[in-house]
Amino acid sequence: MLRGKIFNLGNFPIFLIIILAFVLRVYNFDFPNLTIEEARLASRAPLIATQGIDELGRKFPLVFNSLDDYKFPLPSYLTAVGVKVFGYNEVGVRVPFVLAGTLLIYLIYVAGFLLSKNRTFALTAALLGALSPTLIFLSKTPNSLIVLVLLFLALFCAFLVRKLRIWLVLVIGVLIIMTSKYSLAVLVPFSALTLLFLRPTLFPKERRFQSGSLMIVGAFALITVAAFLMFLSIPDSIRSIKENNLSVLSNLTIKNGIERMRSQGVDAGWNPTIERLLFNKVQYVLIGILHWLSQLMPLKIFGQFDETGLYSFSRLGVFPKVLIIPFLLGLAAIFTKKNLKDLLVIFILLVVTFPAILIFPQINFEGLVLTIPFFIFIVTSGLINTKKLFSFVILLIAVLELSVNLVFVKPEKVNVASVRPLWIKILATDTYIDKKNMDVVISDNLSEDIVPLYSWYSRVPQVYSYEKSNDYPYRFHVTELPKLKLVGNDEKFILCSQPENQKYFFLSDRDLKKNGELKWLKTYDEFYNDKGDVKVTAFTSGLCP
Amino acid sequence: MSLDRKTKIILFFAVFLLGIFVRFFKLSDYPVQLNHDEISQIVDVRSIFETGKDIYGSKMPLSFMSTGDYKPGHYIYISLIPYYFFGDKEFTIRIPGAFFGSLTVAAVFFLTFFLFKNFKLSITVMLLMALLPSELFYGRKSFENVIGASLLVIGTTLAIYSLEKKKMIFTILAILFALLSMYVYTSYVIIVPLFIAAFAIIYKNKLIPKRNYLIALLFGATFLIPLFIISTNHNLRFRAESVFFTQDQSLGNQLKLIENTNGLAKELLTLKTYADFLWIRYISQFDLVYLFANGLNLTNQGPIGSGPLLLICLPFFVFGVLYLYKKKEIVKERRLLLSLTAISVIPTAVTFEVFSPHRSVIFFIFLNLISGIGLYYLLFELLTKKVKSKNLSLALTSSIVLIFIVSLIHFVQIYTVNYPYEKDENIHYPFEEVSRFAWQEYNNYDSIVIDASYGKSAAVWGVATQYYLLYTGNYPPKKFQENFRYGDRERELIFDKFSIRRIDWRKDHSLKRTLIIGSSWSIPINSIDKSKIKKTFHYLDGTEAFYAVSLD
Repeated sequence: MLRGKIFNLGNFPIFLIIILAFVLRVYNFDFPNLTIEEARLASRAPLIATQGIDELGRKFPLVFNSLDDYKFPLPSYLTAVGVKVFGYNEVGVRVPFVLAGTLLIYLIYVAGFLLSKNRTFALTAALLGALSPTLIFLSKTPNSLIVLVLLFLALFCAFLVRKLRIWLVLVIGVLIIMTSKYSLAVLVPFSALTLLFLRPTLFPKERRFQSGSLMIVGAFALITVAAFLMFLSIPDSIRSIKENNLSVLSNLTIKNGIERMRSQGVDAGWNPTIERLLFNKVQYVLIGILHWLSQLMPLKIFGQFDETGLYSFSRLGVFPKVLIIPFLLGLAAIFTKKNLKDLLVIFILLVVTFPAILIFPQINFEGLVLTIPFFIFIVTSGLINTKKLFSFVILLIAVLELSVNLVFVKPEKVNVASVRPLWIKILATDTYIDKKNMDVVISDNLSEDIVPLYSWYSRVPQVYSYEKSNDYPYRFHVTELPKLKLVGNDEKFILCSQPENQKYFFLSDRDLKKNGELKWLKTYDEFYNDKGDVKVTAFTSGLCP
Repeated sequence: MSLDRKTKIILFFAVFLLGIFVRFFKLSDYPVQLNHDEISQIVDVRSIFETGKDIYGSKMPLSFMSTGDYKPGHYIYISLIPYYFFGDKEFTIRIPGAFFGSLTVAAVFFLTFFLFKNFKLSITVMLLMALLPSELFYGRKSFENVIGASLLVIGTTLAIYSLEKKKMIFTILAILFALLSMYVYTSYVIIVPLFIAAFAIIYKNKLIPKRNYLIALLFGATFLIPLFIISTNHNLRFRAESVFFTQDQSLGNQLKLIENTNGLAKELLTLKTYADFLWIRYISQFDLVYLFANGLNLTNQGPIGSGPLLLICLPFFVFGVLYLYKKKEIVKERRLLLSLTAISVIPTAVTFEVFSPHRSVIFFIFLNLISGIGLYYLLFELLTKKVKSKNLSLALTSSIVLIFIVSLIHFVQIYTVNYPYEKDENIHYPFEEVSRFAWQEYNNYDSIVIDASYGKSAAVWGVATQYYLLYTGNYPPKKFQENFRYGDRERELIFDKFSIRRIDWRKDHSLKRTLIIGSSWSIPINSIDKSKIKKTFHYLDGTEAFYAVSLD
């Protein structure tokens, strides 16, 4: 019966919502510009798609490199599939994630139905998912977050259908592990909570600890341990975990703060034992917990998910502002009705975000993204339990707000230009499309990591150019492309007249000052980054490395 | 276990006295010295008391020029009463804040009692209120918002009481107290009308007889007329506008992004930009690290400090909300408390600072009130009634009490020890000592020049230097009014032998019979003959702050 209700082809509303979701995700298709990490996924894809290697020359690796940490492989391979099918262009790179983001809406519908057994609830939830600015945003660029939330929700649905399909669950679990290091921390607790506590509320006749559920949780624990051990075999894995996943422990502000407070107390005559009681390592835990819970506050969900613009519109939350009203109503309903199933949804929010305790002061975006479907269910609960007219007005206001952000994207593009630079496109297309045969030299301080962005905009795939001294270099980034060289602070270049040695130079002010004679050289062009605070001076003749 | 009337009275007064004690104990010593606001207030109080004018000669001003920030005069005029009794003492200027802070403790008890009719709940809330860090911090440092918050809590209490007694006098008093808070602190101009509206909506069926409330509102409207007149005062308006959110640089940057759009799109985007900004600012105030870890800004150690509420109050707050939703018979009370809490954040959201805890005093009071309800729920309902093992119940209760005490000691240490060390610059620590030394050397020099630039990492101008000199020298305000003048040098204010101005060492090093006092921001201290340095002044952490250089 359940299957009939979910997969009923006559169910047009959900198809309409899915089409709406798809349209919202392809509207302004090339927005947003890619970040360095997204461009890295994009520029790596042709290598994988054509030769099966990454930029380090490794054959189908399970761990990739990036500027800040090791990355798990699924998003890279998903991008490669897109590039294989559609080519190395906007469509090839973005479409897999648009599809993932659209499929997510269907899964929200399914999960909503499984939780509530109410079609209106499920449709409303799907509509809210379709209209979520953060989900729209994440569906438009290559990234691991949208894949992660899709897979977790798929797992959630697989847990809540009457018949547990163990093979399906295990496949999804393995894919989750392959998506992000974060999943190593939350897969098991999420599965245990959903299978052992939430599922029995839907199927009261089943035994709580039935063998299938226990087996799945056990299998996930084993897979997680195996993946973790594999990760530990990488030489710099401990450093990676310390710096990226346990940063609260290495946070100097807390460490110094504790010592300073203590010493000031002792100086003022307080007993050293009392000082140790008042300021000690418990502070790490307390700060971690506050940091964790703070991220679940309304600011992120209804105000500003990510002010930098890396993971969402820079001035929008997961939902348009007005949806805080049904959220509060939904929350109030959960508190007053005290339905165990609803309370467990709240617990899921806590379980998928708890690693935030360990990563102060960074924001735990992976955990936060996993909460989105569950926040959707709470908002939905508030919406459908209030007067229809009121709900309609709220949804209308939400749509209006979202429309403004989707239609007028230029201010957003400029606002986040420091992390999603567009000006490199000018630089890249100018050199590669118009004058393809010239070698290019670029100052390395014009961007944190220019090669992926340059490769992406010039559509010149990266090549295997790295000398194999370490298979898994930590925080690695490529510094060369065919016909592209980066110049550092200590490298020199000279005025020269032989055309065969001359190259195109795109220099920052730092490198302009290196050679006083450059002021006599004819400048080809000058332009600024999108924010107008980084100046690039271009020379097309007269300079040699 | 029910308590008899006598026990209840004893408990009430015990907690009330505790609230008074923690606000008045060593009031001169903590904070460790009068900051620039306090010193200017006490000097202006004396000036008004003795001459009827502020130190610059303005007769009974509505706003005091003070340190250039045009302070509203209420706190200064209220402080005339303790000045009459205690004279020119440091604690004199802190008495009104501590007094009204103590009143808030009692008012919160009655507010809770009239709402819930539950003594244990009310006394628990009162206890937490007596020890609320934000109230202790602001209540001990001559801050007018503490008075405003106290008046509003009293007004709200009377409003709830009036529902029960149905006498017009309580309704009028409720309006009167609430509106008085608008005179005392600008934030309440926003809060009070919304409070009244929320109250009227929630209790619309209980506002009987309606005539009483209409008369009270009319009375209120009349009472507000002077406020409208005052608000036309240029200086007060300037003060309010200068802290308005439109001054925020990040908002300006956001608006710049849409400069190139035209027509309706520009209007729409401008409106959206303002809405985004205000909304984000508003909900940012619910940040837990700010509220429970470091929001009072007492240290420079990131998350290690003190929040406006004790950290232990976070779980209490959660239980408080659960209690409000659990009890079906308190729907109106829940709505009132939650809406008042939500309204009380608004003034902070419309100012240019991301967090301004000094404008959120009333917000913290309501959060703390809900935390108090949670503590009651935890101790007297969950642990007492739901936990079957008495030993376990006792152990859990003792643990909560113990953690609460540790939290409190943690705050006391941060407030009394770490805060002066960490924020000595902010409380203008060296200025009092500098001024006393200047007077000590008064007869040895023809002229004393003080450059008020100071700071450990960046130079800041000490705007209240003249006030420190007047206060430490017990200088008659009338004499200052008659002979102070502005000089030709940069930022120069001259009175008696004193010249407060920027030092230009190239010119000033050749002065004769002059004592020069300045920091390393204004004196090239390393190239000066060490024998000329008569004294070095230090910050509390031992860093050198000022030097007194003798030019013979």
